[in-house]
Amino acid sequence: MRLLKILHTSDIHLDHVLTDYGRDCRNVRRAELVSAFDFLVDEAVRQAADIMLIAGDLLSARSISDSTASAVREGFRRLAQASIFAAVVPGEAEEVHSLAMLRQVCSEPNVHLFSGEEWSRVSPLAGVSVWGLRTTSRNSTTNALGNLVIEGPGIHIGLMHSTFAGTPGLDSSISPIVPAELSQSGLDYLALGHYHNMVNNSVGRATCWYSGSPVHLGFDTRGERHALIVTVREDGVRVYPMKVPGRPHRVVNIEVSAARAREQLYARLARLAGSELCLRAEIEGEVGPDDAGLAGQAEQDFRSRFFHLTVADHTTVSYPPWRSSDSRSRHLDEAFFREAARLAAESGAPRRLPGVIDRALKLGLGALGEVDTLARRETVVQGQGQAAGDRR
Amino acid sequence: MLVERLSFKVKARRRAIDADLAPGLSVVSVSDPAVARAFMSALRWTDDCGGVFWAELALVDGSGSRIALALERGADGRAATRATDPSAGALISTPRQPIMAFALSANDDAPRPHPDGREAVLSLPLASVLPAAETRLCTAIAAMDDVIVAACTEGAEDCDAGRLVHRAQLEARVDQAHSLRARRAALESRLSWLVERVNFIDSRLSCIESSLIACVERDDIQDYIERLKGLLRECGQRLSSAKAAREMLEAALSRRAACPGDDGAFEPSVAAEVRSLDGSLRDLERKAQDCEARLSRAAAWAAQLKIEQALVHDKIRKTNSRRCSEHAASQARSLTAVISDREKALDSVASHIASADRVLMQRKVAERLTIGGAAVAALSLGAIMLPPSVWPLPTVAASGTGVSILLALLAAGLLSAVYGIRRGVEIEGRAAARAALVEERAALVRQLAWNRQQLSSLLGGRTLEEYVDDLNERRRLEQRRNAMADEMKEALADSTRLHNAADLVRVSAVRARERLTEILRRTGFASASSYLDAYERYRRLDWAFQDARARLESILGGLTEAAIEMDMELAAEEIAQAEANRDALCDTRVDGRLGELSEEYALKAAERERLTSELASCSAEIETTESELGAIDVWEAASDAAEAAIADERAALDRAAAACARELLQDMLDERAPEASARLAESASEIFRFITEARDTSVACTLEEGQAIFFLEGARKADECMRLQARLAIELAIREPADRHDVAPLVVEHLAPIANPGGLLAALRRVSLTRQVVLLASAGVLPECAPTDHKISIA
Repeated sequence: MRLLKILHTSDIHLDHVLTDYGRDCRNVRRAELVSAFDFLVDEAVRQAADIMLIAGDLLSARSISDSTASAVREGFRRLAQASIFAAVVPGEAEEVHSLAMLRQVCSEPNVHLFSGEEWSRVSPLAGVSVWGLRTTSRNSTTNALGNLVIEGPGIHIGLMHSTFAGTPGLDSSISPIVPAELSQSGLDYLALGHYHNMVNNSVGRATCWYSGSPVHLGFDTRGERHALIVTVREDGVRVYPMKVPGRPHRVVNIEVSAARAREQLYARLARLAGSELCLRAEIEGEVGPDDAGLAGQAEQDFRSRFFHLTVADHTTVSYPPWRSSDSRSRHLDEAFFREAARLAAESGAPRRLPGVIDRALKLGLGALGEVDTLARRETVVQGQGQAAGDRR
Repeated sequence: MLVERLSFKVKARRRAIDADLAPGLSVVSVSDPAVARAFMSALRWTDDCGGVFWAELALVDGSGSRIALALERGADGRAATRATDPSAGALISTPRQPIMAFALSANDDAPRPHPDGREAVLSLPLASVLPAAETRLCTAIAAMDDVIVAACTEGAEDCDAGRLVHRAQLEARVDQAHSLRARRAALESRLSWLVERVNFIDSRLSCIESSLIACVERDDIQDYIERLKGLLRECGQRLSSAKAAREMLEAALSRRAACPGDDGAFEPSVAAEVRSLDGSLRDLERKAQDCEARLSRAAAWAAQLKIEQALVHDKIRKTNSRRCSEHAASQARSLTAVISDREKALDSVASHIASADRVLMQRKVAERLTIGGAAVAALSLGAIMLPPSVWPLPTVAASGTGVSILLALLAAGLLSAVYGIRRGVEIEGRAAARAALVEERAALVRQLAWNRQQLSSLLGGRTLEEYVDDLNERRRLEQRRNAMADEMKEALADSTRLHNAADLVRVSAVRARERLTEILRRTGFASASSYLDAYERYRRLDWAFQDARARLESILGGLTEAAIEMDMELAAEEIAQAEANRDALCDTRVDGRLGELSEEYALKAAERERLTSELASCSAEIETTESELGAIDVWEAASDAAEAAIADERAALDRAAAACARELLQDMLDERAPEASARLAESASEIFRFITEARDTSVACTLEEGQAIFFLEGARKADECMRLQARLAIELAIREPADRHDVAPLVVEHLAPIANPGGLLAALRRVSLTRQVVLLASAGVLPECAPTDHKISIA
């Protein structure tokens, strides 16, 4: 049997709305998604792949622009020039407007779009069958793989946008696949999409992989991004992850303590700083009342040192030791903290949005702290004047 | 802290002012409000001292060190302050709020009633009177308000609605882009179908067109063949006709050759001359006879004229013997008219005479009237004049009636006498006129007799009418005689002319006969009629020959029989060739379907036109859709919509959190404010008691609707001076906690007139025991100052 080479990818989500990023870098990230698709096409051509499998969510149909659609068609044309067949199944991101945009970009003759809700087959090469189906709300609850009946000899490749049961971190369920059905399906390789991280779900001789998204669409994905090069030979199926170059994304958890929260956070951010890096810093731990607005301030202070920076505040405000045991302390921040704690503890308090009191506490402390800071600054200035006078 | 000297330049007046201030109380009087504002502004020493160009302050702090403060303005108008140590000349940090300055408000002079019956001294915003901690709460509450406003510029519901509308607009933009895309896809699909259909129709039309053209070509060839066959048949017919015509020509030729006179005797000119001569001879003979007859008639007419002429001459002679003339006739007519006139005049005179005779017959009557009247008048007058005794009847004489009658008779008698006299005078006049008329009648009778005698001798005894008739008869005869003379001349001339004409006819006839004889002799004919008969026969034969030849030439059409036979051979060959071409164009599929194909062609052409127009409109609509789609950045709009949704969630959380925090802060403020106000009131009471030495009076404070309202308590009579002192104490109590290491100088502005300035000055003098005090007041305050007070007057 001759060597069959497949490039398997999914979930590129071209022209995704990218709300995790700031307005100024959103356009760059958008262009980078298109560049990632171009890279995959170039790699398919360079490695002389026979088939390119796209297991759903190639594009975000709701927000895709004409220019991006043209770029995808151009990519498919380049595959055609290299005699590479492309098979595509729709994902849930493409279910908007009846697959119109996906049909449009998949209109090249070397591209086959599986738009039926039942299994169908296409044979791009002699002895090679690619099976696929479109997962919709109607068949999303059924075990689609159980309905697959494979006929005839040759290599049989499956293509689905679905959920493999037991995949860690995958909560949603679309046409779930169970390992037993996979092992009995008769498929040589099942290319899956929907989960944005690369996962091997092979069972016995039945090979099944999630290729994961080749790009970061936000901070939900971690680490390097991959596509898969799959080779099928007589001796079996082999899968080689192929790294897709892209902008580095990191999500770091920064534990801070109430006494040194600012110092700890700023030191960590300074170490991580990089102009190409997209960073999401999750601050955890406790902060003092003076640092209630620390996350926003840090984000503002370090924004210019990253390609994109988001500082998510998961801290809690702590106030021990109390400077006064009286609830009507002359220390306003203390008193406000006690008021907020009282409000949170009130059983008959009106229903509020989750996190409102915590946010109110930080806002109030921030406002009081800002007033206090101004007063302190003035005192410091005055003190400096006094010190200068003393020196004289 | 002590202010030693203040120098500043007033912006409004462009005037530099220097003022030396002393410890204790300084009272400054400024007449110009602009200068007063600049003075206070310079002493307040805020970041932007309004109203001054520059300012300099010389200060001495609690430790005795001197500080020079300077405020300058750059080219952009911004103020910059610096503090220097004059002894070292080095810059030092600017002290914070070195001077305590405020204006004592004058608008509270009239005590304001409070619902509880007390009179308020001063009302200030809560935030401006609270101590630092509570002020921080107020600021924090304001910050929370700002957060709420930033999350929502209007009311929460309106804000949410606005955000929803904004998001809906963004979503609608995305939806519009997708619907435009769907429309574009549908249009492109339709367009491609249209193009395909038009191409199909074009090919079908082309196919039908070629079939129709082949049919037309075949029909053309068939027509050509038919025309060739017709030509062939025509040539055959022409050949046979030419053969018959030639036979007829030869027969005519032989008949003409058999006719005599073929030697030129029957030349048309000769025949025409013979015919002309023959006709002329006959005509001349007829003319000669005519001339003879007319000659005889002319001779008879001349003879008759001579007879008539003689008769007329006789009559004229007879008329001349009766001596009639036109002149005599004219004279006779005149005399006749004169006679008639005179007869009329005679009749008129006779009638006048008869009339005069009738008047003369009344002469007797006139005489009698005159005499009778005169008599009656004389008698009446006499009776009147007589004495009564004379009267036979005394009764009558005595009565008035008798006198009246007498008077009446007297008048009537007088009138009658006058009328008779007048009538007599008239009659006498008429008698004289009658005598004149009788004389005139006699003269007329004589003249009339003379005239009648003259007329009779002139007419020779005839009447005037007879004379005129004779005269007219003679005139008519003379005219007749003249006419006959003319007629005679004419008859003679006519006779002469007829003679000449007869001679001419005779000569012409002789000559024509001679010529005709010569021609006949030459042609061998005896007479002109025999010649002309023979000529006519010959002409008929010649015409028959010419007809036969013209017919033959017409049939041949300028060709020869051999040429026609050659044409027939060529036509036969061409027919064979054309039939071969026609057979090559035959298509059995098209045969019999021409009508159907034509109909289909028309339908397809109409459909193509419709599709082409639809294609154009489709293309235009695609262009419009493309341009509309080009105006929408779908990704941007979708991203903005998603971001707006996230921002909405975040804003809702912020708003709720800020509202919650504000509520907590407000609770804290509400809890702390009474205590702070009480402390403030206590402090103000102490200051008040210190500056007024009124031990039983205190200042109280209540909080209402964000305002701190101050009252005086314990005062038996709170006059205006006391209220002013209370306001001073309250203002001092509010600001005193700001003093840190050094006691700041106090600057008080009160430019309004004061009824009793002594109270305020005394209070300030008490304050000046603890700090330097400067009062900026109106000029009316200066006379009330104590000798120890430092007085400054700025014009």
